[in-house]
Amino acid sequence: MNSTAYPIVEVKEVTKQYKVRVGLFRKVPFYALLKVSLAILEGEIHGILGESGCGKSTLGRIILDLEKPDWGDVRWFGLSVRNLSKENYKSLRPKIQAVFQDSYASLNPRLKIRDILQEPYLLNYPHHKKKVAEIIREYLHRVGLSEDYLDRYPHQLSGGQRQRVALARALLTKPSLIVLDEPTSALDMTIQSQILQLLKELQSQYNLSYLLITHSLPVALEIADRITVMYLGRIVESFPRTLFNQVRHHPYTLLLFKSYPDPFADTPPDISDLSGEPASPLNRPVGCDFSPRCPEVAEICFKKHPLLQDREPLHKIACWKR
Amino acid sequence: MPILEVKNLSVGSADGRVILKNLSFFLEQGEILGILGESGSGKSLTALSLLRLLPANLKILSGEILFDGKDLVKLSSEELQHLRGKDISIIFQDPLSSLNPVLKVEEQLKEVLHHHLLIKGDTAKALILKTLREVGISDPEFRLKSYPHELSGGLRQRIMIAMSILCAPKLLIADEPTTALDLTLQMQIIELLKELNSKLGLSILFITHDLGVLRWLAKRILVYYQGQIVEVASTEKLFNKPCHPYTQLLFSSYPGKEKALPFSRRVDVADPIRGCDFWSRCVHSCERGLVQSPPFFEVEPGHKVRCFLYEFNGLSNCRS
Repeated sequence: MNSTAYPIVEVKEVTKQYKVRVGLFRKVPFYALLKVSLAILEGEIHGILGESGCGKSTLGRIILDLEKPDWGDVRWFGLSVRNLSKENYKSLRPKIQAVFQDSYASLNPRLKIRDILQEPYLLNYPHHKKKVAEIIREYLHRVGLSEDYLDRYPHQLSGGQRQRVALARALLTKPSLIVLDEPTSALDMTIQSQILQLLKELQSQYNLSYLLITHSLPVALEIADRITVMYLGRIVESFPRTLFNQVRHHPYTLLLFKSYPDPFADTPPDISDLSGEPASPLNRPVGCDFSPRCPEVAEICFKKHPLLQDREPLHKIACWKR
Repeated sequence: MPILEVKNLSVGSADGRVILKNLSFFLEQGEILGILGESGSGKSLTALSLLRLLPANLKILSGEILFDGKDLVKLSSEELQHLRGKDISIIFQDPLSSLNPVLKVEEQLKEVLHHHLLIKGDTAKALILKTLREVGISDPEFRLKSYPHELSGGLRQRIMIAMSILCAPKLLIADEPTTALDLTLQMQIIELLKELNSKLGLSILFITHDLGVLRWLAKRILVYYQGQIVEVASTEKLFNKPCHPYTQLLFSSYPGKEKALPFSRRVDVADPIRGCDFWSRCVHSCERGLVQSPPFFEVEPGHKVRCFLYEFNGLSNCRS
């Protein structure tokens, strides 16, 4: 990544609304995402950190065009997704790929690994029929599996191996960006570390960008170049990893850092400021979303929600007290 | 005297597959003992065998589970019925599936008291309200009227903990109780368990794969690998000097840690190894481990390792 890197994907003021049924007839709208803007640069590993229900997976799905935003705009390579012509969409779609947490659910249980890998490749490169076997073998090797696995079914593979197959499949269409939604959360720690290592290698080899969606601080710190923290559907802070603990972080970010039990730290996690649970998006506080739990809360925090603003070059934060 | 002592416990299936191999450990009165292991290592199965709640295809092959002077393996099912939930209680990862979805919280909690202690009516309610406050629920009257699905994950787990300590048990088994919770909630539950331990003297067996949680909660840790305990030490000693090659691999796999150990080669699992279970992944893969399963070697008082590296010279062979 360098300073002239251009954005692969831009998300501009995206709002996503869902409705939940309350009782028999009443439907209540809530906002899964509220005016979220971010850019994923070429060659960047962009980590999205947040607790469950903060909208991080919805953001991933909107970037993948699996969901349409209700307001706002998503741009792939500078082009607004909603206005793409059919041909353009067809040529850009394979450039944005996804790997999900549950590798078992994302691989068709009735297909052999060979077919799972062949299908998306032939769909995008129908004229490469002769080469396909060779290319599949090459990618399988690249993710650390031998070709013996080609004739197996997903259930015959372990979780780590299946996640490698999912990665190989994503790579086959030569993507620029892979959205990784909790790619290692279901894996054992020794396997997680191998997959993270592999992700790093592939990223530098193919100059990929990743959107890494995770709830795990150590995972984000291990591989992300930039970390964006979300709370209740909004971005509260975004900073380059190099500025971790170098700037005044958002009170919520601080809470996450402090309450994280680091097994190799010298002191136990400090949870003196910890209270309450994340508010529900159905029942959003007036003012700042974090105000009911914030240890530094002031009067203005209960009145108006702070906007995400640049505090330092590359450091964005949404807080009245920063 | 330890409140719980497990001696040479083996659990397996009828067709001869042994899943828990010769486990021996003890839990002191008022201690928090941690079991650390990856999925499939047998840590949850240990919890289930302690309560004799094993799935139908598995049974205790041999060994003793001494709790409070009684051997749980020999108790009749009626005697066990009386013990479970009263003297030994357990909380699981998913509180929603542990609670009855069609009963209000109040009824579920009252049932426990009635069944075990024959307490009913206002006395029961007063005790329940007191316990709910103890586990940090601020508006217990209101929560008692709720159904489980109306509560958040953190609250549900607090209700489960309240239910498990209602009858003042001597031992609480916690099987990954914080894994399904968000980080900020997880630490609140951990803090609560610590508090119950120090205030009520509750002995806790805490099972998890989460290194960070155990580091700051448990006093001693058992490291599991494939149904065996491979290392036992106090938390301090284990984190200062992990000795077993598996523990070392586990610790160095933690995100952000130096990857000190090279990735070990893998041997096809179809080819069973007679010796050490970790042999195929071990960086040392000693010749003896191939044919012989290592016993425990004590490297320093209270710190035992199941690895031939430590047969002589104790800690001096530990490279970490």
